[in-house]
Amino acid sequence: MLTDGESARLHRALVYEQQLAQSVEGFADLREDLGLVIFKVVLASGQAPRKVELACFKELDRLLAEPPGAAELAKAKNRLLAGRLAERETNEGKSIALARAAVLLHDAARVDRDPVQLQAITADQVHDALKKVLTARNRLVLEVVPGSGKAAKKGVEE
Amino acid sequence: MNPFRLLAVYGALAALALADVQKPPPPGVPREVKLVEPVEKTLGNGLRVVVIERPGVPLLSVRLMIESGAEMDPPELAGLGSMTAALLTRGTAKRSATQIAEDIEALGGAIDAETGWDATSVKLGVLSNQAPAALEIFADVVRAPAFAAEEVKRLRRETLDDLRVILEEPRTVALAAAQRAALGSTSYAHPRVGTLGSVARIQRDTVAKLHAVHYRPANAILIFAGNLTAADGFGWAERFFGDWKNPADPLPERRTGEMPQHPRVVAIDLPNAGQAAVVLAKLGIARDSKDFISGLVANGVLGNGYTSRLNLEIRIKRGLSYGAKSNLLALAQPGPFVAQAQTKNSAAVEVAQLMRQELDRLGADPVAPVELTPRVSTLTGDFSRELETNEGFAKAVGELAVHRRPLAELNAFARDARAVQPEAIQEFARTHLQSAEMSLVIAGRLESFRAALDREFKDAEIIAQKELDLDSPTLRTAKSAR
Repeated sequence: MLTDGESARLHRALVYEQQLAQSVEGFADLREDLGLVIFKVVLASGQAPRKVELACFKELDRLLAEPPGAAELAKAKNRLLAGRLAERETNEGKSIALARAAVLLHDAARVDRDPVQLQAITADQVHDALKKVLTARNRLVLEVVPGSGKAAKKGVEE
Repeated sequence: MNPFRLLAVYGALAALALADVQKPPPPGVPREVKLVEPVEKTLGNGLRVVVIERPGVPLLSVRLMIESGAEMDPPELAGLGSMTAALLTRGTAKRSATQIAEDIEALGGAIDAETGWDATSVKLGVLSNQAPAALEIFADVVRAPAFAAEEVKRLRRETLDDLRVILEEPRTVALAAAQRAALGSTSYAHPRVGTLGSVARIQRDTVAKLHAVHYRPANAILIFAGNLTAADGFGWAERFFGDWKNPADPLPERRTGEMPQHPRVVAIDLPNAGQAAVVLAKLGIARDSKDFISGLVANGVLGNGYTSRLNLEIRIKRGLSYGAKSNLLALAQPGPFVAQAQTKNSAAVEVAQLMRQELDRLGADPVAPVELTPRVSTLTGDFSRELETNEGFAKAVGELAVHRRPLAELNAFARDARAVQPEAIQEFARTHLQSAEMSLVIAGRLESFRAALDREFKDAEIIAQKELDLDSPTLRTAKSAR
């Protein structure tokens, strides 16, 4: 809902409507132990990082304040399902899906079960999960800015 | 258990593992492959429709190819085709940009467009049970884009921002400059995404005109691949594109241009570059050349895959780069051959000379079977893996269709590649890949390789970053050329 597709919330708000960013990407690096949820925003030229960060937080907070509507939830599920199916078109994709189920989830059969269960997820369940993960206390922001010519020249070459 | 005993067991296991590594199982005999046959028909308006039935996974890939690509960009408007394609999904007569994204994504789908050489592809990927609804949106963006002034302005700003970022990368700069140096002012010479100068000049009306002229059914191929039947595909083609009309004016001719008089050596000074990019380029072959397959295999030996010669010499043996490779782009007309590597600034000239040596060695000595077999396998393996997905299959069929090749050639590729003889590779290299005929471009921090450049390439042209003009065959801004 936040970053998958051009109609996703962060993309629409930051890239299309406010034109603060060139691109927005997001992914959940889900592991056996705790992983990271990462959003990566490339700013449009001339934009101040702080302003873009606040616009980004505003969208996260909006999703925390209210559960998503039925249409938005259905869209996210359809996109996820299409992505999972596309992964399984290739042998490599199939093996990665199996490995993820067997190693990270300790149950190879989940490779078949999870896409079905995905369809049953409710807006409230999504909302509850977001409230645990996307809290303000749980955020780290890294700003990467281009160095001056001098700094770059001194940079590591080899 | 006695700990020494355990170690002994481990030692035996390690020896066993080592023996395994030293003697991998030999590869099996290649199997004959018979791929699914595409079926096709042409609609009354001239639209060629191809269907590839791949039942199973409930997905569908659709590819509409307009048989005009970036080669149709006017000389002063590099990037016009790319901008036009990108604007298709930014609003139509009946949907705004946000509605298009919202509607197609609600179906679990996506529409993308890209402008290549010889063709522009508009692609749809969707769950196959949502095909009719998605195709209605797909046909709408292809046939009736609005090109609203505000959307053109928005995309222009986004594209310029992207260009500012990528033009700081030595690799992008060297590749674009080498393409120019090798192809002069001909129609495959400019960056398809455009330049800072050209993109700023692209206006709404020029975009709308390109669309009106080139996006027509008699200049298009519609390909379906995935979970559908031929009857589904032909029915949908008729329903969504059957009443698409051709404009009265004939398609414009491809423009010609001037090839450069001689190969060039160009060094572009990027004072902030952490590494240098080294690129060799020259005109290669057309897709209908009888040497197409032997050319691909020759390029495979030289620079396709980790253990191809360029990477073997430059990365594996000498540790000078994270990757050296080459590419032979065969198009409707002869396209570029390009060899490239990125290296530390101080090693740029050494890497250029190594690349040149490898080009000439390919023509001088026959390739031994022990080297040739894995290079051909890399090529046929890449090809087979591309065909695993609906989108990849549609792309491969589309490339054949655009270049007027029989679609059954899909089945012949692996066999033909395996039949290429060492003499044909040598012959191809001597005819098309001689180092003396290559233009060389190095983009990087000049002060780190200036001395070596002066020693090895006395005639090198030096261009400062701010003097570089990718729109000009001279590669220089008008001001700096004076």
